[in-house]
Amino acid sequence: MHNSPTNSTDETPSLLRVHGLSKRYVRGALWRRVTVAAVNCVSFEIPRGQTLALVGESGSGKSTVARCVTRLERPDTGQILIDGTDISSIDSRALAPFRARIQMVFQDAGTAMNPRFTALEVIEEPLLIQSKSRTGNNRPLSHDAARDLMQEVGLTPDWMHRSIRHFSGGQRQRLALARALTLRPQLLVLDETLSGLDLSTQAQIANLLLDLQARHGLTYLLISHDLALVSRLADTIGVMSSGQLVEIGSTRQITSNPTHAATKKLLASVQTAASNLSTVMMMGTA
Amino acid sequence: MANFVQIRDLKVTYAPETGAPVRALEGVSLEIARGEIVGILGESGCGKSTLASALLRLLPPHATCEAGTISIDGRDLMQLSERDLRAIRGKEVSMIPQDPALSLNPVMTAGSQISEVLRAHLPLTAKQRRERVMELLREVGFDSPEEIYAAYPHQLSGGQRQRIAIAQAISCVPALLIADEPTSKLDASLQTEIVALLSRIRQQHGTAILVISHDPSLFAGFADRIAVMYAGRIVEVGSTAAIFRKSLHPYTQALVSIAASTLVSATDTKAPLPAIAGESPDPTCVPLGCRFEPRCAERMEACSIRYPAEFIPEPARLVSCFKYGE
Amino acid sequence: MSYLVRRLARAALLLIGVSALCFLFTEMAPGSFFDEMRLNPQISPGTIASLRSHYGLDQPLPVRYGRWMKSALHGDLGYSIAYNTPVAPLLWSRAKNTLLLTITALLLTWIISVPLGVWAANRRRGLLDHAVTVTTSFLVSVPELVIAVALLAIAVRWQIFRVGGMISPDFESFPTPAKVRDILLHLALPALILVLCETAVIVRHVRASVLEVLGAPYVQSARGFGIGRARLLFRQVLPVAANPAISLLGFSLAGLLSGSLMVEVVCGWPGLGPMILEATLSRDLYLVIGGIMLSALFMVGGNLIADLALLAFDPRIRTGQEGSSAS
Repeated sequence: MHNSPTNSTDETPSLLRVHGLSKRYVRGALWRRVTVAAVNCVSFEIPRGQTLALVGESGSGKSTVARCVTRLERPDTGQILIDGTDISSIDSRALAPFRARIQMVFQDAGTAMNPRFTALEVIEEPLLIQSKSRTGNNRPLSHDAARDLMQEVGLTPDWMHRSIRHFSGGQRQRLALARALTLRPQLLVLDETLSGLDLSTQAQIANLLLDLQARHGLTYLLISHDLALVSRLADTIGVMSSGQLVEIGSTRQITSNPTHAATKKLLASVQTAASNLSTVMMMGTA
Repeated sequence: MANFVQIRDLKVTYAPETGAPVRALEGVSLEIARGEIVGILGESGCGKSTLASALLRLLPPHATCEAGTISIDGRDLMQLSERDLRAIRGKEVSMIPQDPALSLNPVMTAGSQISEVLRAHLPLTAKQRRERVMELLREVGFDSPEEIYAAYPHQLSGGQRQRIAIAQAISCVPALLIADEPTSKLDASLQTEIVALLSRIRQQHGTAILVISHDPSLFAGFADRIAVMYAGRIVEVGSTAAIFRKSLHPYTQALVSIAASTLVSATDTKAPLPAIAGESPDPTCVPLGCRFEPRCAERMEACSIRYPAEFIPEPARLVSCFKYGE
Repeated sequence: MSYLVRRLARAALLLIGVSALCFLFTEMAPGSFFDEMRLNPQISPGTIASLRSHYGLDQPLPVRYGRWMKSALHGDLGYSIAYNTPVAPLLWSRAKNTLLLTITALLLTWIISVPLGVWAANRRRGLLDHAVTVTTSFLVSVPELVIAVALLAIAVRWQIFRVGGMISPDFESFPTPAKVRDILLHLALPALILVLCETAVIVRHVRASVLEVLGAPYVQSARGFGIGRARLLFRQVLPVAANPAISLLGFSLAGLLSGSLMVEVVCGWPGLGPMILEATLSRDLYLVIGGIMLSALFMVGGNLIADLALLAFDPRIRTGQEGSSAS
């Protein structure tokens, strides 16, 4: 039902491997309880340093996959293998060391941060949480380390002590990335991180993501509804529809040779927009 | 010949309770002809939503319209009473709100919300209203209008809710429709549908449409003319073809090249996208010169000293940039 | 329908639980009805012992509980030691008076609060709004007891109302219309105290709730379509703002029996409150438990009515949040 990625390396195991992931939700109220399969038997893998994008319409289950991978939710069945270790059903104590290796960045980072924090407090928060869980003493981020992080994501280090209320949407998104990088993760799950941003801000953040990936060898799981944007950033694209992974393949395969109806539908709207654009740009002189 | 909608030199300032006043619009002039689709291209903070609200004279209480005129069909909206304005809103000028998740009343059915707009402006009986609502629901693309009429907003998807909002806006066949970021909060795949619907509306009813978006690709094949806004001013105006093929202002060129980068074939995946350096301007501190200057790759001496005047290289074309004149 | 059945079942379980807890707590509380008697040298311990066994107080807790349950199902709710009659009719005779007071107060409170709150919210920052805010802040911060005593003092001083009890001494000799008038005049003071205290709270909630809805995007959107102010208020704003108000009404209903104890005691209104107070002080076991159970019944009933009303009024609860989903 789906094509596997063209080059799956067997020498270095993939950083993330998902097998048969399933999650159901019970919805509806009062007397009309309905069980909905949000995710139904999804499998994919991401080699180290690469980007896999999950695209689909709202309600297709992609955010649920993201939440299961980061163990914000516990999957009902299936395996989630990080470097060979299955984290799908281990308890929180066993999970602790993995939390630093997988970080998640959401859409609209502005609401994901405490508005009374300064930039420094936002960035060092994960460290505080992690050290608390291990040794019990406060270990704040040194100012130098914070400066480096801020510079890496393109923020002026002078703003370290500024309250995040004064940051624009794009700046907050950068800060969210900085916060995600504090613990030196290996896998970043980006849940609609680029949605809802202005075009130029989107381009800036997208470039930042590519840059960080090249510099640190990060692996990305990118969740989005925007196939056009994602085809610029991903090595592999998986298409989700109604909880199932209906097609998966390299970016080129998916964008030039889609097989499943859901993929074709997504691609169709991208192509219409693209053809409108190219028509208006390359028409002969009026 | 005076145009259908004429905005002249509009200046709007927000005076929030805490903090510095924000100059949202600094002398914006725009004209819209009957049946024309005009696009406003600009990013957050450029004042586009303020412009839309100003057209309806529905600015929040802490905003002041310091100067300028807005005339629709020859009537100056600044002179009208609240009562007259209410007669215009929804009937001659209608706005499609931005966020479909929030713009519908959660405890009223979709059909009754459309009916409310009809009730405010047209002397129809309840039965006639219901029929008209069914008609409208079919027009915006619903196959089973009866089901949708009785549905509550939380039972509908984002795209469906947006179409209900559109049905509300066109219910009294307005002469001007304002669509503020009609597809930004929806899945990317719905963009084509919504754009097609709006085009159809213009064709069938001759409605003029003011579309606002930060994404140039929305306007391709849809808008007749585009006005580009930056930091409270219009920096460039031209036909859609002109803006895409030969944009003049550096900001416009940058935006168009970002949008065009989606046309690049997949051979170059993971190549950096063209981007504009720097951050969007701080609306509370207004420098003397061109607002885009800090981020402009082609800036010159004059750019930070004073604001460039509007230069009209050819009819129906306008740009404010020192590259082209004083 | 199955929702209703489940709620009723849950309510019944709740009441049983409350009764069990009552028994447990009263068991743990020191003292019993006969303690005072024991101090009296003229009554022999033997008499006391036989009195205790007559009322079953020497039985172990579970047995007493079982017998009480049986009595409850019969409609008696046990036996009052002080009054030497079954508890239920005693309770009811007093509860009637309390209900007269609290239902009057409830109606008046809501009839005043809702329009006032809506009006204040609609004309935000106007003179009325400021007056409402200041007055309610004052009333909310002053303890109810202080308000009660203050009004009582004023009433006595200026002879405005008939103070003390529910009826005048020569009540029986009045013709019927005069009887009604007499009760109403006695009712006025305690009702006024209750209305003042409750209105302050309700008005603030109603105002806050209406203000919140007035600022909602869909209301702005409706304004953008030219819908008039009045229509907007009644058709778009109030139905949404009613939601929290209905919950509040549920609380008010729930407290119909229990909320007026202090006022009744201060004004001498012969309601449930003073009787339960007295029974508690004198350890009249089953009367206390009966009073608590009756209050609990109203509490549960009030909440149930509020939930059903919410169900009827709010389509989101009725049809469940099916639309938006996890993606």
